[in-house]
Amino acid sequence: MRARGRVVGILAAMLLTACVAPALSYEGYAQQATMTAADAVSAARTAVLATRTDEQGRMTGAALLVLVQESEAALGTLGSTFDSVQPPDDGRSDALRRELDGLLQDAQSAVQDLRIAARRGDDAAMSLAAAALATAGDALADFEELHQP
Amino acid sequence: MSRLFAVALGILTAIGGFVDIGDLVASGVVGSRFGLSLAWATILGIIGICVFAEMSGRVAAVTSRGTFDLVRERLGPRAGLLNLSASALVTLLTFAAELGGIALAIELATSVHYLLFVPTVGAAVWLIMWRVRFSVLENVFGLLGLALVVFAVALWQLGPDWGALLNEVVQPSLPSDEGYPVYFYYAIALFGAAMTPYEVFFFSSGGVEERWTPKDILTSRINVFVGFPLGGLLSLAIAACAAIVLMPQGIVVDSLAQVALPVVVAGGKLALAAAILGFVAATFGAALETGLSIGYSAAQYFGWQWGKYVRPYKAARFHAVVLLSTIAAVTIVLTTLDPIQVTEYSIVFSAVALPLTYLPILLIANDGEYMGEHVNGRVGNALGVTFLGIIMVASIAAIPLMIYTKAGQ
Amino acid sequence: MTDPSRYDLQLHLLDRQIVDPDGELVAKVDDLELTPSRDDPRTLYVTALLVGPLALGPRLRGRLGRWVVAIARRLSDDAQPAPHRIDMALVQEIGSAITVSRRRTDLAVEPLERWVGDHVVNRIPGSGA
Repeated sequence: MRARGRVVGILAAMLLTACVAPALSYEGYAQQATMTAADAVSAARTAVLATRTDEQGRMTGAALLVLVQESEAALGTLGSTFDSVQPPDDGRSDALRRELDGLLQDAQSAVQDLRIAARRGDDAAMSLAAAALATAGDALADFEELHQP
Repeated sequence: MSRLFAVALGILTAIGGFVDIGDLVASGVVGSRFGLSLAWATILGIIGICVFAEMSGRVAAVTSRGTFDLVRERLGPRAGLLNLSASALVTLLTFAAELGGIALAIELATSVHYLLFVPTVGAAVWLIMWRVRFSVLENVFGLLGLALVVFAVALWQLGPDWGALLNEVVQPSLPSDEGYPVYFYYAIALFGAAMTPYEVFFFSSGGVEERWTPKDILTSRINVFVGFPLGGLLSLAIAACAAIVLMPQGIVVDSLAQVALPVVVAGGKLALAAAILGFVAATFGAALETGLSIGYSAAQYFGWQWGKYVRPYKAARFHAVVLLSTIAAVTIVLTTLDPIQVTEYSIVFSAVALPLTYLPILLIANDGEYMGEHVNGRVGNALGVTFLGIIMVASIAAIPLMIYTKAGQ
Repeated sequence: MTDPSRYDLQLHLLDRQIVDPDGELVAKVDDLELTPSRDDPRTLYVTALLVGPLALGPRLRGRLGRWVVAIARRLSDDAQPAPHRIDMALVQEIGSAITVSRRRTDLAVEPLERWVGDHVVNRIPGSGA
C-alpha cells in the first residue's frame, strides 16, 4: 500500500514538472523556430502548387478549396503554437521571434486572400495571392536555412 | 475457363484491396520526407504479410476454423483473451481511421467538411456488413480499389529518373535534415501499415466464409503471392509520386488531399477523380474488413455462431458486436481527432500488437494435429521464424521510438 | 485421430468448439463437470461440458474471473445460478470439434444469444428471423 502511494507520488511530481516547461536556451528556441518555419513552408507551398495546377485547368474547384483551407488552418495553428512558446530572456531570441512572426503573418494574410479569391472564383486575385504566398514561402525557407542549428 | 476467371478475379481483388488508409498516409508521409530510402521497410512488410496470409489461408482451408477459435484452443482462455482484447482495440482504432479516411476522400471530392459525412458513412458501412453477401462485398471494393493504379500511371507521366529512383531503393541513405530515430520510427510505421493484424483475421475468416477446402490452397496462394506484392507496388508508387513532386518543394504530407496532389499535377482532373475513387474504395473496403474482423475475433474466441454465411438471426451476438464496433468507431471519429493522427497511431499500435497476432498463427500452422500433411515445411518455418524475430524487434521498439521522436517530428 | 478411449482433457476437450448436427456452432467448452466415481472416489469422470460465463470465469482466474462470475450471477434469472450444462451423453463425436446430438436451439445454453436476438438483432429488418 505504502509502496504504491510512493510510486503515485513520484509520477505526480514528474507530471507537474513537465507541465511547467523549463526555460529554453537560445539553441532550443531557434530549433522550435526553424521547425515552425519548415512546417509553414510546407503549408504555403502546398497551396501555391494547388493554385498553379488549377491555373493550368488541371484541378477541381473542390480539391483546390480543400487544399487551400487546410493550408490556411495549418498556418494559423503554427502561428499560435509558436507564439505560446516562452522565448528565453535575451535579445537574440526576441529578434528571432519578431522576424518569424512577421514572416508567418505575411503567409497567413496571403493564404487568406487566396482562400477568399478561390471561393469567389476570382482567377486574377488568386494569381496575385498565390504569388504573394510563394514569396512568403521562400522567405520562410530562407529563414529556416539561416537559423538551422 | 471459369477457373481462370476465378483466379484472375482473386488476384485483382487482392491488388485493389491491399491498400488501406494506413498505407495511403504512411506512404505519402514517408515519400515526402524520406523519398524512397524507406522502400525496404515497405517491401519487408509486403513479404511478411505474404508469408503469414498464406499460412492463415492454409489453416482456414484445412481446419475450416477461424484464427481466434484456434488461438484459444492452442493458447488457453487467459492468453487468448489478452490476445483478443489487444487485437480488438487496435482493430477498432484502425476501423475509426478507415471511416475517417472515407469521409476525407468524400471531402476532397465535394469540399464539404468531412465530419458531416461521418454518420452517413458509418451507417452505409454497417448496412453493407449487415446485408451484402461476403463475396460481393470482397469483389466490388477490391476491383474498385484498382483505381489506385492511377498512382503508377502518374509516376510514369512524371517522367522521373528511374535509375536514381532505383538507386534510392537499393542504396538507402538518410536525408540530410532527418535523424536515425525518426527514420526507424517510420520504418516501423510502414511495416505496421503493411502487416496490419486485421488482415490475417479477415483473410482466414473469409476462407471459412467461402467454405475453402484444401483444394483451394493453391488459389489462395496465387492470390497472396501475386496479388499482395502488386498491391504493395501501389504503395511504393504513392511514395514515389510524393518523393518526386512534394519533397523537392519541402512539402510534407499531413493530409489525405496532399497524398493526391502529385497525381493531379501529373494527370489533371481525370486522374484526381480516379485517385478519389481509389481512396474511397480502399478505405471503404478496409472499413468493412476491420468491422467484420472485430466480430469474427470475439465470436470465434467465445464459440458463438458467426459469419455472413448464415442468416443474421442465427448469429445475433456476432452481428451485435459488429454493430457496437461501428458505433464505437463512428464515435471516435466524431471526437474530431484528426483522422490522419488516428491513422498514424493505429499503424504504430498495430506494429506493437503484431507478435500477438502472428505467433499463434505460426504455432497452429506448425501443428500436425490440426494441419495434417499441410503443416509448415522447412522453408515456410524458416521464413515464419525470421519474420517473427523482425516483428518482435519492431513491436518492442515502436513505443519508445514514438515517445522519443514525439510521433515522428 | 487418437485412441478414442484416452483423452487428454486439456488437449482434446477444454476450449474446443461444440458443433450441432447441422454444423452450427454452439459454444466453446468453457469448463468440464467432473464427478467422482461411485466405486472409487479418487477416479473422476467427465459427466458434462460446461458452457457460459459462469463456467469460463473461474478459468480466467484472478480479479477478472471473479468479476465475470459476479456479473453473470447478477444477470441470471435463477436463484442459484449454475453454469450451463451439456451432458456427456449428448456428445456424439470428439474430433477437431465436439459434435453433439441435439440441435443448437434445443440445447438452450445460449441465453445471451436469445436475448440479443430478441431485443436487438431480430428487430432490424433483414435479419431473416
